[in-house]
Amino acid sequence: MSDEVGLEELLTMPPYSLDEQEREELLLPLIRQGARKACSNPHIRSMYTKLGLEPEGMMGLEEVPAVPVRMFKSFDLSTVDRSEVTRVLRSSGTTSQHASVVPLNKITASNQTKALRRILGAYLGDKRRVMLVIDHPGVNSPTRELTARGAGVRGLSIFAKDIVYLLREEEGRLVLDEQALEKARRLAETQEVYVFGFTFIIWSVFCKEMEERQHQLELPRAVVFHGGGWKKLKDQKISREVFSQRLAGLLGCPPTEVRDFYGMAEQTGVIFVDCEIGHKHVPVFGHVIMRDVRTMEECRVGERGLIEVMSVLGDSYYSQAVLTEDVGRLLGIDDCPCGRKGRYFVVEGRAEQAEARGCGDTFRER
Amino acid sequence: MAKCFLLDGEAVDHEISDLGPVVALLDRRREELRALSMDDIIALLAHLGKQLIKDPELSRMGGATYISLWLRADNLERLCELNYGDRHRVDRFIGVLPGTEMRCQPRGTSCHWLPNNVPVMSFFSLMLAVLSKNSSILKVSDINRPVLTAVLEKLKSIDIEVQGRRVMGATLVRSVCMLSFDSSSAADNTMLSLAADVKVAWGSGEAVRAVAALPQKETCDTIIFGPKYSMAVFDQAFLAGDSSEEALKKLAQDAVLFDQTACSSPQVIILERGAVSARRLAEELATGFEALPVKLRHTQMAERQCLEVISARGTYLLSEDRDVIMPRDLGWTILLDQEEGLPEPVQGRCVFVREVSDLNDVIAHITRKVQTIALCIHDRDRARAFADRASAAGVDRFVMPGEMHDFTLPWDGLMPLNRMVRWITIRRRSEDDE
Repeated sequence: MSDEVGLEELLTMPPYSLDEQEREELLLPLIRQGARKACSNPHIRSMYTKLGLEPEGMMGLEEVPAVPVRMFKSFDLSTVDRSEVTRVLRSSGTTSQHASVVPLNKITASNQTKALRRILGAYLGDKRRVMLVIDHPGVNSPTRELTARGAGVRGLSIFAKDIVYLLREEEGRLVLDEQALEKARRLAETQEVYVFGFTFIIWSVFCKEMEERQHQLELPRAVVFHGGGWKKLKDQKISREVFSQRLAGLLGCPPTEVRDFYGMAEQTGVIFVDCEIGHKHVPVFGHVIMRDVRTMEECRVGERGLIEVMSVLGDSYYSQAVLTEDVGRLLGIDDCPCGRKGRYFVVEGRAEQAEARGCGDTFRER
Repeated sequence: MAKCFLLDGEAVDHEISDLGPVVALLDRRREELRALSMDDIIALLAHLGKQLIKDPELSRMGGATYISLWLRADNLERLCELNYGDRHRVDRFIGVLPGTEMRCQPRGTSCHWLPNNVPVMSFFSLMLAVLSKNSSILKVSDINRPVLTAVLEKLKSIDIEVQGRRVMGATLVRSVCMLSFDSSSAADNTMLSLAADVKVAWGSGEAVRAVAALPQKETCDTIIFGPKYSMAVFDQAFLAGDSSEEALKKLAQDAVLFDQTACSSPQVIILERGAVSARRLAEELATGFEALPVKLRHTQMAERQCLEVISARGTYLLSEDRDVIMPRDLGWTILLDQEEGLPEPVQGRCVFVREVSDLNDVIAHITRKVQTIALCIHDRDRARAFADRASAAGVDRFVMPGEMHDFTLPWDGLMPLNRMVRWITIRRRSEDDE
């Protein structure tokens, strides 16, 4: 079986069907192959050379060198000719004015779509549904450059037979779209729906306006996916439980079907969705390693570490290992009570702030 | 609302919204401190230094050995002589010229905005107040309060005899008040500033600018130990000598102390181009890092600081024209590049190594914010000539590797004890001297 066939096979597998050892055996050759191709990029080649590594010599997933996620803002990490790039994904993030630049070619985009289809299918089943997007239609305008929000909507829309945007833009701010809400209510009477939105927008716009206008939907079989980070809600001391209860109450669905997911523009296609217990699960085409922030060693189960996300989906850029600036804990391997195999973890948010810079500072005069 | 932790020599835990009564009490305690001679004060502090390393608990405290050495009587006498000319000038009038006598008087209440990154410096800030016989109000944090509390507790227990007189550490401790409040509280900062006869502010640019801008008495002086940048320079003649290996070992130690957040932490090594390449020097430095004692070799720096280091490593790994030497862990990092000028510091034990054709090329990049240079130039005259030009451009200190963090005076280009007192003169007819 060639590696290429290996990826195709992997993308047809149920995403939580392999145990740790089986998954690593399948992933490692694909990661090595991707890394070899990535070494055509002078920056990636420079990194491997300085670290004294050869892709073929990497004996375990933990040996694959990770690119810090911030590097996507300052380096061109594409691994294909510019002419092959069909779309450039940009993500501004929250800590920098510079945007991450993620070049996508047809193969990468196709891999990402297939992977997302597998992951979402595990929660939604095979049938296409009506998708309710808690955002405005402009977020998915057909421009060549995608924002992370647009990519999220586009990515999760693969199960949609009809899309209804529940918000609209009014003088630069988001408001509830009453007509769209009415349409959603009508469609939900006869069809199954799923809901997607960004966590903070759901909380600060949708929930607030739904309550103010005393609206409520009845979607008892809906599955709700939300992502995009908790920082602003954590600052407001909003817990996951409070969020799920409030949203489920407004949508008329069980709180266990309000599923947070963790993902990033730099690793589109590999998302980590909450199971019924609230654990984030790693699908077969990706891998997660928690790294001790000071030693860079792989953390044991239960230890806090920086989240490193590995993926075999990227053909047009270095997706093999990306070190994020988020921290989390690996909760277990192959033994989640929900029955899904593989690794499962929890995200604790952004790495903690350093103390003020102190008296050691720049040489520049201000 | 400010919280008070130490007052009149006793540990307390109550809120304070008016420093008036505190200052009134400190004024009385300051008179008791003033009544001690400088020799009494030095004897007490030297005794404290000896006790610190004997105490099994205190000796484990970060910086205990250094504090103990710093408190040696001969060091304290030297510091006072440097600042006052004659240390007894803080006790009485002493003739300076025919018909002229001078002495110093404490300014009064010294208020300290202490540094968070280097707890030991908080202790030295207090020592400046004690050695100038000022009372002190210290704005402490969770980071520096444990060190100060432990040392003051020990000082309070000291009771010794000096030249037949009984002197007690408690006299010094009673002149100190410790409080804390939210740094963003304008009301509390203003309250502290208005209580001050001399303000001592340590920390980041934002922190010291804020303290300097607070309303204060028109007679109050402000001493700023603000943000600074430090570095090392090496010439080829020095590297050819016997001491270069030892110098790089000591420089490695200077770089890891305080996780490189101190104003005196070396951020870059500038090397004069020649037989020893930047890469070879970096490898020697790497050996120095690896030879550090286990306690210094590993870091406990904050997660966000770790991310800065990880990002710098990523940048240098991915850049074809740059190089990096590092272990897997974040204990140390050496970044090599061909760029001109001084690099922006990463901190977190990241030392840049850069080459220049001539060390004098560095001088164009030096500003008043460069504090310390570890001066590794073999020829003494050449070293002095470099120091002359570099200090004219802004540098305050030139030391050898291993001494970068030594709290010697002058510091930041000023004699702080000298600034913490008022200078008093009596002029008489010169024939009265006869």
